[in-house]
Amino acid sequence: MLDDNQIEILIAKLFSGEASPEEAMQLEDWASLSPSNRYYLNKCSTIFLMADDDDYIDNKHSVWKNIKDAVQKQNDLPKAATMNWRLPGVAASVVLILTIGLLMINIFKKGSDKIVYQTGPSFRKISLKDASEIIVSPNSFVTIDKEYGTGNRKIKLRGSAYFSVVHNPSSAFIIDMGFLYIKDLGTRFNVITSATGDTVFINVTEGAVSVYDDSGAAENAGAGEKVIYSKLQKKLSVFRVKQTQAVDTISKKKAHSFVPLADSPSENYLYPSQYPPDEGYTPKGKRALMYNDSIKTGRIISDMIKDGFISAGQPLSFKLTNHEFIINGKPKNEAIFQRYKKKYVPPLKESGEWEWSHNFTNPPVEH
Amino acid sequence: MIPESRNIYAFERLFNEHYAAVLLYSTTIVKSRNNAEDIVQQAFISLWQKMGSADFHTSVRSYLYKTVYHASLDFLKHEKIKKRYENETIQAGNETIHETGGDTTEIQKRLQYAIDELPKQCGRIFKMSRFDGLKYTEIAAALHISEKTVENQMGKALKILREALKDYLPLILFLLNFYYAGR
Repeated sequence: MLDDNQIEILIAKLFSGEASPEEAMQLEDWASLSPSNRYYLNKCSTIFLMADDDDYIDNKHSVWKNIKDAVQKQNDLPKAATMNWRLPGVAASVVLILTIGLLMINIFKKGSDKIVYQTGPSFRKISLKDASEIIVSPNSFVTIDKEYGTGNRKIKLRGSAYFSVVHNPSSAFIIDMGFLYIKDLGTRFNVITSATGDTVFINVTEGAVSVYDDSGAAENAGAGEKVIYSKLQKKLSVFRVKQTQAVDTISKKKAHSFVPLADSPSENYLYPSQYPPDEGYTPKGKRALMYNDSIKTGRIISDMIKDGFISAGQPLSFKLTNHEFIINGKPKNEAIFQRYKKKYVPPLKESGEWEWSHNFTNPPVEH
Repeated sequence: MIPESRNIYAFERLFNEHYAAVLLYSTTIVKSRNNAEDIVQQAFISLWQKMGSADFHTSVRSYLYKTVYHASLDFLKHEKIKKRYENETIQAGNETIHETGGDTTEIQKRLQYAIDELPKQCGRIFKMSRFDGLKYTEIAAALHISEKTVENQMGKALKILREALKDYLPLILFLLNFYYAGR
């Protein structure tokens, strides 16, 4: 077992490019032992790699695509003159088994050990056995084990919800989002998934939570703090923000107003309700823009779903300017355009031009 | 671990399992994420080819790390040769190179300040490793100290820098998270 000093030396060796493959594997094993080790290694990586190469984009997906293309070219797929009936036979068996399975699920549904709460356009309040409460946001769903509270306090969440959790030191409350896990021992917090599904915001109003992702990164956040997870970037970040308004999702009021603290990295934030001024194109303003972009995009997408222009989960592109509003390549009529213009387009000078587009250069193909 | 049979889905699982770790390893050697990605990509393709061979009995993880290690060193060797060639060509053509100083970010300034504040020998060794690109053996030889001392001093430097920059790390993460998410 390596002591702290040996770990520091090994890490310094790794980031100096001096570590042998065995030493690198040894360090990777150490990082895998706990989320805090992984977190520490990632932070050291930030220091060292920032010093030399601070300009990169996560290309994992395109690297895999290149590998897959290369290996598939290498595969000699036989161009058989005769049909190989084995594969269709296997496929048919699989379909049959799946069908029987689905039928059995339907038949024994009453005996299922999980309860699924799925919301449509409105919020739903769930009271759990241990007096904890969940307010599930529209177009989200929560799965709760029927044995919840007796052996575990684990629920699954897809989408957004507000949690008020009763303290129980012997049983951690765990939210499984598939790629992200949130653990707390008694707190109030809000989980918001952006409309694109890429970003998750966890705002803690009381108590504390621990958040882990599936690569082992971890963050803790206390009352007045916020954890932001980017699925694309696989990055967890914590910010201190003063929450001026308690979450009241049932009455659909605006969830948060963020007041930046003087000592917080959020000092460059703009209020979500403000539109970026022209200075928004300075580096500082641009960062604030990018931070607010997720919230703004989520809001307009929510409106488009409510108005029936799009369905949740479907590919989307739109462009809103001070002259027109186009959704998935189709311009909207004047009345609809004026409604969205009033809500989202900022006041402009007489000759001013303004545009907001989302996925517009690569719009989805409508069938 | 005996490698699984050549099934693309199983291979994708292996890729997801090992990609981040070997990419980090290669990046620490070649100091460039883009080049490291190319190296790692090639290593996985090579792994696929090896897995098809009947005499491949080594651990997948071990194979990836070693392949990436050797490929990264080869890359550095090749870059050195390229640079030498470029320098010779430039000298032959009597061209002058004007290095343009880029804007130094706040974080880099803080990092530089923290490095300058390191204890004397510690800072010297750190700069020789990080900025002069010297190997531990080269540093030890230049300063007439043991390689073990170099290792210890580098570990000490890391500890001090981490402590000195801890207040800025959330900002660093914020910048990396949102700046690159917006691209």
